[in-house]
Amino acid sequence: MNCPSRGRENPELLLDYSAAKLPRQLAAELEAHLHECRACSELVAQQQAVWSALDLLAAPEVSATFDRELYNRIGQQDSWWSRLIRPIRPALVLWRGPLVAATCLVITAGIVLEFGVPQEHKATSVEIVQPEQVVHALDDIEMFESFDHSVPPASSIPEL
Amino acid sequence: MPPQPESLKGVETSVGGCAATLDYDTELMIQVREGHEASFGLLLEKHRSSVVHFLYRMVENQAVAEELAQEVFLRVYRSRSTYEPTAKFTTWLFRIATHLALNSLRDGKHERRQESLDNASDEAPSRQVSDSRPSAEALMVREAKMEEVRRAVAALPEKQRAAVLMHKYQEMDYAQIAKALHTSESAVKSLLFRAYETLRARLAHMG
Ligand SMILES: [Zn+2]
Repeated sequence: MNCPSRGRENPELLLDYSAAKLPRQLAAELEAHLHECRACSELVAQQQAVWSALDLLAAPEVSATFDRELYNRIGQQDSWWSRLIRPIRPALVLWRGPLVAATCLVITAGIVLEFGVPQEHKATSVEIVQPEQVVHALDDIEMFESFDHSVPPASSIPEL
Repeated sequence: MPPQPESLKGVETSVGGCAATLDYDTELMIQVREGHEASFGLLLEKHRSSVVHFLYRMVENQAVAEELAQEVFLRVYRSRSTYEPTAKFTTWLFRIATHLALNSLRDGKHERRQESLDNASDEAPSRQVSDSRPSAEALMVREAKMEEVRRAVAALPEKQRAAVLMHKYQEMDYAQIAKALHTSESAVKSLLFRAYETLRARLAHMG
């Protein structure tokens, strides 16, 4: 076996061995190497110490109200309109980019039509808020789409 | 109609009989997709703690962790109609959790490191009174070690931390972690190697 810590070909061998995740055959080969390689045996000893130390990282119990709050949120969010759009949701997921862009355009057009050429202070607030909202929306979409490259859209990060 | 915990028991038997070509969680999620909403309760029951704990270790704030975990399960439930089993259910679940955790950390909307651990360290002296001396000392040593581990993990860059948490506590393999982090397997190996290198420098003396 090539030295995994020097060659850096399979450094994960040492991690997997320390976590007792290595298949028996490979573990035996590595053990033979550990007997003759000080660098690897030291790394394994240190890694095993880290592995045990991580067992100390406790996390608190989940609140007793967790499920109730979740079901409340589900009840609130699973409203009539979401039931209404459920049949066309896959199409919405597919067309979310153009839909958001179109929505932004409609909103912008609405503001322009409503206020005409706005007074200075109104124009300022529109200019400050709107780009942020659009950027946020586009950022979300971009994020979801980037996730979609390795897993198809339907099973990627679901939107709310 | 949201699923109700009371109705879970009847489902357990019918689900338990499923042939396991797909993993059990995926079977459950397919049942949720098909309208068997109580199967969602089984998934929640099975993964609630691991998701909350993962998020807690990511954001170090119990209230935020639970809020994010609720959003994870909410998204799972809301996307049931379009669910396709292209990846292991837990990979998908932790992908959502990781995405939300990284976003939350990026937005910096919360204080990290709040009450629970502070309380834990406050409790140590009071226990000292009632406990016998050696176990009180042992407790304090343990608290100090826990704090050291916590600091070391918290100091890792966010993606490295997420990778370590999934590798150590969720026992996910490199491919699963790669999907959850939307990166390649070799990138995950490199993330983990760098993260453990840092942790070895800080924690190896504890062995
Ligand atoms: Zn070696």
